[in-house]
Amino acid sequence: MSPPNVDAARNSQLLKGVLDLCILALLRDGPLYGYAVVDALAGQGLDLVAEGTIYPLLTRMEKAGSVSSFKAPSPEGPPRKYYKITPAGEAELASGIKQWEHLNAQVASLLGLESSRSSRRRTTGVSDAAH
Amino acid sequence: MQRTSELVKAIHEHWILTGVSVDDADEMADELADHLSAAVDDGKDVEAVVGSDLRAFADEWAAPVADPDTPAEKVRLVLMTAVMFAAATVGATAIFEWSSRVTIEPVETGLAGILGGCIAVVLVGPASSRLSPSGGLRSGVGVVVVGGIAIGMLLTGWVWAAATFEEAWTVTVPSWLAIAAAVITFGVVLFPLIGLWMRLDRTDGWTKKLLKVLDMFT
Repeated sequence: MSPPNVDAARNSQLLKGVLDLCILALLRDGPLYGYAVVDALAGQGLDLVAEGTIYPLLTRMEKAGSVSSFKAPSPEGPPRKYYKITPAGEAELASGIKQWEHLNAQVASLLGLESSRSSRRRTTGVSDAAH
Repeated sequence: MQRTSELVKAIHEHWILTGVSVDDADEMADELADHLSAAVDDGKDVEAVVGSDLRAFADEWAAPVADPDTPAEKVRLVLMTAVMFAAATVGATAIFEWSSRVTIEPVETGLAGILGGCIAVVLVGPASSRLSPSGGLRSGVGVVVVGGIAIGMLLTGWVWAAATFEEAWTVTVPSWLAIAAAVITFGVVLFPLIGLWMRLDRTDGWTKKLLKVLDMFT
């Protein structure tokens, strides 16, 4: 069993690679402000090491055109900045989901998590060798 | 609450000094303040939001929007500083010689301009802010260099005046001390102001710029 800090670091790295897709998926349901994005991620069990790291990512996504932002009044202070997904972001999400499914299947296969597929391959291998 | 507002202020200052426009820095600071306030209300620690390395956090956020000074902008900053140094020296000399007449001594004024340029070169490199100790150190070195040279000029002026009996030391020493003080004040206060002014949105009018600068320092 890996030490907790190694597990946490791996978890953080894995999440980092798909965090933009997770954010786009959340924004697909409607505009959110920064803290609400973090809250929604945490609700899905995805805790960030430092919550503020979503802001550089949101800024980059906004620069890239996958999200846009607007200000709306907040009951707790100055107007809040909300982010919403753009058509380019929708397309990026669709393409990202396909990539994720492909990668997920390959990694799962390699790790022996997909029993039917991997066992079929093993059986085929044995059968080929026998002939 | 005090800690979070201080933290937001320090990060805001760091962003401006590292090339983020004042408008972008204002917007990012509002967003950070809102997030920190909600997080603290939810019983979270500030570190859960910004992590353990404040500067890395601030730099990472600034990276997509920062616009560091170009070489041309750095040259402009150095020239502006040199001119203001020369003007400050002329003004200080007039004030401390109790004269309403402004006299421009070419050598003295030119020397002050060169000194201003030198301090700008020292300071124009890394940003100096509470989140950037190395930048702060460089700024400190710059101030000490200028102060040291000014004091050297003071002693030279005193010895020269004493040797030639041009002025009594009671006039020369306070004059040069005042100039040294003006130069050091310039390094500490006015240089960041010039840097800030240059980072304001060029489309803003003078009044809006002035209000933003005042807001930064109040």
